[in-house]
Amino acid sequence: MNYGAIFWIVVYLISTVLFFVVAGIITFVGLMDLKFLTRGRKIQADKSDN
Amino acid sequence: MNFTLFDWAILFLYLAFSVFIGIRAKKYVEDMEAYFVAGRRVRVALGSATLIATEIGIVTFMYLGEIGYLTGFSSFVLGVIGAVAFLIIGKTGFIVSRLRKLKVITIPEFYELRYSKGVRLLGAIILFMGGVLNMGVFLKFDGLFLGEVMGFGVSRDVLFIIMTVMLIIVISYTVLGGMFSVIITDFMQFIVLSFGMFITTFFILKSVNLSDVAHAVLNYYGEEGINPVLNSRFGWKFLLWMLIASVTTSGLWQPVTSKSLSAEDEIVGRKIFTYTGLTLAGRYMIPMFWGVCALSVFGPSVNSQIAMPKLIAHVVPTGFLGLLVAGMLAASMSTYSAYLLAWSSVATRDIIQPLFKKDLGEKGSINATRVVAVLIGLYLLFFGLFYEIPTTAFQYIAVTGAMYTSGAFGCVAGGLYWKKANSTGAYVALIAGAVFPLVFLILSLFKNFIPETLHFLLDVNLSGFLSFILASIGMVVGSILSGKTNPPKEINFEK
Repeated sequence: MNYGAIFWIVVYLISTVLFFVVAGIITFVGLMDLKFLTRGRKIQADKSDN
Repeated sequence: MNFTLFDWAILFLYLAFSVFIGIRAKKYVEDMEAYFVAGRRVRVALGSATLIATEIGIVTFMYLGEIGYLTGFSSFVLGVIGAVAFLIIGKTGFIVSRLRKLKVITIPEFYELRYSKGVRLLGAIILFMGGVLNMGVFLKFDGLFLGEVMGFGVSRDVLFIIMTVMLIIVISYTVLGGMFSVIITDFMQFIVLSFGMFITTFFILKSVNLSDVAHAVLNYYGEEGINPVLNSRFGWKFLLWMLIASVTTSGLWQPVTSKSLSAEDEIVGRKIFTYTGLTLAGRYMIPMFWGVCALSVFGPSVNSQIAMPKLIAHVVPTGFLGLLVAGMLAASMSTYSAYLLAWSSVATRDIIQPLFKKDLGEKGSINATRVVAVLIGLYLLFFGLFYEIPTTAFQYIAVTGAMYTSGAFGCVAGGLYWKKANSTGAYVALIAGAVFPLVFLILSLFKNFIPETLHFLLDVNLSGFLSFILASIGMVVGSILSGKTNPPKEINFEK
């Protein structure tokens, strides 16, 4: 196989693995961020009601 | 028809759940800052997920798949360039950190702070035009993809129905919940689209042999399929343009920048870019590789726009197609919602309000944004159905983006980092940046009537590249020549 082709296939495989690994981490931590975002707004809304 | 009852059930449940969540998010919107930038309470992981989801849509899969099919492995260089650009911004905070410090909601607001109301209006008009032209082809490509994968074909009636249903769903939650809806649904869509990408990649890798794919590229394209500089669709002009455009667009494209402007602070804003940068090469190369595999399976004579979806319909088993289409729809909906909100907020805050010289108030501003979002939706439907793009979808998206980003780069980078930048330089940069892409788009409608000597104006790579160069020169020359008669305005970043 041509070296250029091997190079791009390796780059593709690394990038793909990195995408799914980072996506997994972001999903997990993002759930906590989502709680922070929505809970913060609820507290603010309750305060302004009082 | 490739869809089974099971696929339809998954798709229906997913769409209903999206609308439910998006509309529920309306309860969090109490003021303008909540509507436009989610109260600036977005943290790193959530911001990164929504930014990735915004920048992935069916249209991105389509144009990246098309460019992979047409240029082989050479296209992968674009993923590397994109990743480098985001990582540079994440590391240095170039543009986004200072904009976040100034607490602006849209980029044209910065033009008024640093230059004048006139620059804000002109910048907003060019941004809006470039933005909606850029977005104009999204729906069409979504329709093509879904028609092909679901097995409806690509007739205009089918496209119309698919496009209308998608628009109604997205508009309904975007106009009601603003940035809160966008972020919450984007996050959910990010999970679904990552899963959809995983499934597709799994089935494609299972059905092809990497060595056959490499041989197909070499066989059909030779060195051009491996070396982007030698590739006739790319070449050094295109690569240079992409490098400049990637750094500038990442920091200046309103739907992207608004995510860092929604961040808790400027450090979080930068980290969002770094995390997104880590995934960027993958998000480009995954659909590009699907396109390259389509080349290996079908050969080079299939319609390049539908080669990749044709492959997906070919390799992904029914039963999984519902999940895949839900993932792809998730990707598109997150893009539409962010883009609709971005362009409608620019139109309301930076064009309508200054033109009528009247403060619409918080409620009026939000309602006007909702009306504009609906109007943009209608435009997308008709433009998508009837406009034929003059080049590859990737290059069309890049050149319409350049209409705004070239001038904006001169104005924003000059305004943030060069004390001598003034409003004259800003006007020249905005106009010079928009001219070449606009000339390209207009002339390409009449290309049969253009004399041979002017054919260089039909080179999409040249017009994109020159627009950046001219806009930067325009800012520098305009500001220096008029510096004495029109002294620059100063802004304080530390307050």
